[in-house]
Amino acid sequence: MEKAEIIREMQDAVTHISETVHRKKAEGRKVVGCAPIFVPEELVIASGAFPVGIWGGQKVSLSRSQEYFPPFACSVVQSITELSVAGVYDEVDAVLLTFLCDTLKCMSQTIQLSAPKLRPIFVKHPQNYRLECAVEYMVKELARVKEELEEVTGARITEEALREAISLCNRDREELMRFTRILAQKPGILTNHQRHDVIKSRLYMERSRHLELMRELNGILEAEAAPEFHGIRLYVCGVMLEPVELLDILDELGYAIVGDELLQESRQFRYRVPEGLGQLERLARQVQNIRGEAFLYDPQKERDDVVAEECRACGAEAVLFALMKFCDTDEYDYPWVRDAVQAAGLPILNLEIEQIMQSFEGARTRLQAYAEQIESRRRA
Amino acid sequence: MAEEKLNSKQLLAKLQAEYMDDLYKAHERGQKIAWVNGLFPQEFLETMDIQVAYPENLAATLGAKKGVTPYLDTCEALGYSSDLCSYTRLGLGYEESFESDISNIPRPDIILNCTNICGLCVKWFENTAKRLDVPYILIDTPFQPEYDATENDVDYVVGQFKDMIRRLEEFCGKPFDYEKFSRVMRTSRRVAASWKRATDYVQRMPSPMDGFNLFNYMILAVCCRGKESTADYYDLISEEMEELLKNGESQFKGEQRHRIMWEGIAVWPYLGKTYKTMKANDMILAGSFYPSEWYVDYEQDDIRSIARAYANRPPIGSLQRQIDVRCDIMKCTNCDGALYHVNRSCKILSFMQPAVRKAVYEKNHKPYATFDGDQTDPNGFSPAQFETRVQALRENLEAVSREAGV
Repeated sequence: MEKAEIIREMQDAVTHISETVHRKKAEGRKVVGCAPIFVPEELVIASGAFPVGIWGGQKVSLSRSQEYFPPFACSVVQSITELSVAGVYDEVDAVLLTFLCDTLKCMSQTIQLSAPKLRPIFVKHPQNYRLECAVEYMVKELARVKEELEEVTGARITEEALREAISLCNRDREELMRFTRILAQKPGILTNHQRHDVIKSRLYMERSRHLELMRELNGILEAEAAPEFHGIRLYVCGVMLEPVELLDILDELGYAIVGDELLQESRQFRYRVPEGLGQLERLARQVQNIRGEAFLYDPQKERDDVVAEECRACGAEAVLFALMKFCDTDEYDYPWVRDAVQAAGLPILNLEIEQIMQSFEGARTRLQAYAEQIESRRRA
Repeated sequence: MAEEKLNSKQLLAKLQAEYMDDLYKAHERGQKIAWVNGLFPQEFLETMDIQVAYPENLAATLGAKKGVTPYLDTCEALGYSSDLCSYTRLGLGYEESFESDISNIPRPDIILNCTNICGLCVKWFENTAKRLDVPYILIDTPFQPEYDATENDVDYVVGQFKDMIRRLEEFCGKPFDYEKFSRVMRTSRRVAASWKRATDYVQRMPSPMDGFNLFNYMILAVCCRGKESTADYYDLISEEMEELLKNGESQFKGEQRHRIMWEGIAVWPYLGKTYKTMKANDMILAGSFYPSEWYVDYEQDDIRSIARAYANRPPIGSLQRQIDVRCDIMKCTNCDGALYHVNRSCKILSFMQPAVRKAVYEKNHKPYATFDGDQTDPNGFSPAQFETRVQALRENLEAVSREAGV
């Protein structure tokens, strides 16, 4: 396939989510929603169901969500709620929900009212994840999740099926890591918007198909010469970089994302599921390898160090902290990340965003001014 | 000459002074100082002879005494968002100087946090531990969509307690004294029972207790839950309530026409304003979820019981549990209405609240009103809005009374 064809297929997956779900249902497949954050998609894949990401909608106008949340809840949860009331998830058979922040805890409860037909399956991560008692806890929780998925799908999830699903997802993670490295080596080879779609599409297509496309795309990109690039090599922090208009503005202004730690993007795939004997234990131990995760107990606050190290590794010359308004997790971390980035000699811009934002001129002006600031640093 | 018996107000002042003295003399006495969140299992620290300070309590005190603004400003100057919880903003600002003309707490040697109230403290204490370069121990009590704590949740908490004991032994350089731990647990259970008994007086009709006093009385239930003197203090309050009942009197000097459940944390900077507005509308605060949170009781004196008790706190229970707790409070305290604090600082208590309000009303048909506020940031509360909402609630309550022919 041509590069453009591959990207078009991925973009179609991202922009035609309801159609995909409808098609899967028509084929007799069960569909299981995967809400933020760190849900065991491998179990869904092993059950034979189609996993579909539930990450809210861009530029959604809020009206019914206000019956469930006051206005100071983050826009991702507000938009998921709005879409759930509108019946967007009506064809989804069950949804995996997590509790890694207070807003997600509350949404796990209110979604049962805003989408009463949607079956919730709770994934209770241990915050104290480095202790062995946390692994034992998570194994039992995953066993319950597995049983509930078996009830929903009517299929038994065997060790072999789960091992294959883990292997598939790990290979996909590796290809995604390879992809982000290529883009860091060859900035400008794809637009920021395309980079986002390629990464995000894993949430909305068969993982095996995503893996095939990733392999082919990475092969093409590796073979292509690096374009001449004089723009700004940017590293991005935060929950997500949506609405996509923000990415288009970055493209217009000559920024190229060379690395990220976005919760919706790299933080979803930068840690493989480790090897081991029992498949549930492997899944439970994945989280133990995570270093500096904002949503998990991080007594040394290593996120700051991780960002600084990654900026160095990908050759970033500037950092954008896309701070999702009312995401307290990121709001607590921003000053620390800022200090670590500045100590590494890089500038950082704190840009407050909302997934539901409809006007982008303020963001454009700030990103324009930031680009000028970076240009003048270069001249200096 | 026999020592004159103190009344509860005097005793509270004495015990608070002793508590602060103990905190500030800890290092002189060779003791360590810990900072913990309000519902941390203090039994372990009391056993290890660690003095415990509560930054949330400092925030409430500075809030009530109009001393928060400089620290909120400092916090924002550090780069933190003003959307963050005001307790945590105050704490992060205060840690830059440790200086207040109103009230202070000493620097910690260690920080411990339990997730049984809110998740924000995880980050607040994480930042504080790094800023002050001290160790940070987390006890994670998972959220309970099942209703309350499962056996797996309890096993996990027990595992963390065992790890904490090991780390505290290393930190203090001495073994954990399990016999003392049993004694501390017995004392703590006595405190829980005496706190419950004292606060239950607000259920009487008419109430001898002014319900707003719960917000003042609770300080020892938060800060000194492992001490016999705290149980003695709450027993004294009960004695005073008995005396008032005997004389047909009440601490509340207004009309007890409407009995109100106050949902959520107090608006500390406007405690007087909220109290007077309710009183002017013949409302007595008769029930509240927040003070009742500190009835921490367990079935027997062992680690599993205590793990279950701390894991089982209602703020991390399911929506149905949140609803049931409020319905029970309104029923036990004979409330005929409710005031819901939509607290900009407290996500866990505010984000399920629309669903809680609706369900509680569907069950008991008692009128309610909401108001916007903030537990500590004075900018988050509008006295005029509060007055209007309370008046509207009163009109609704009166309409219900008229319909009922009362």
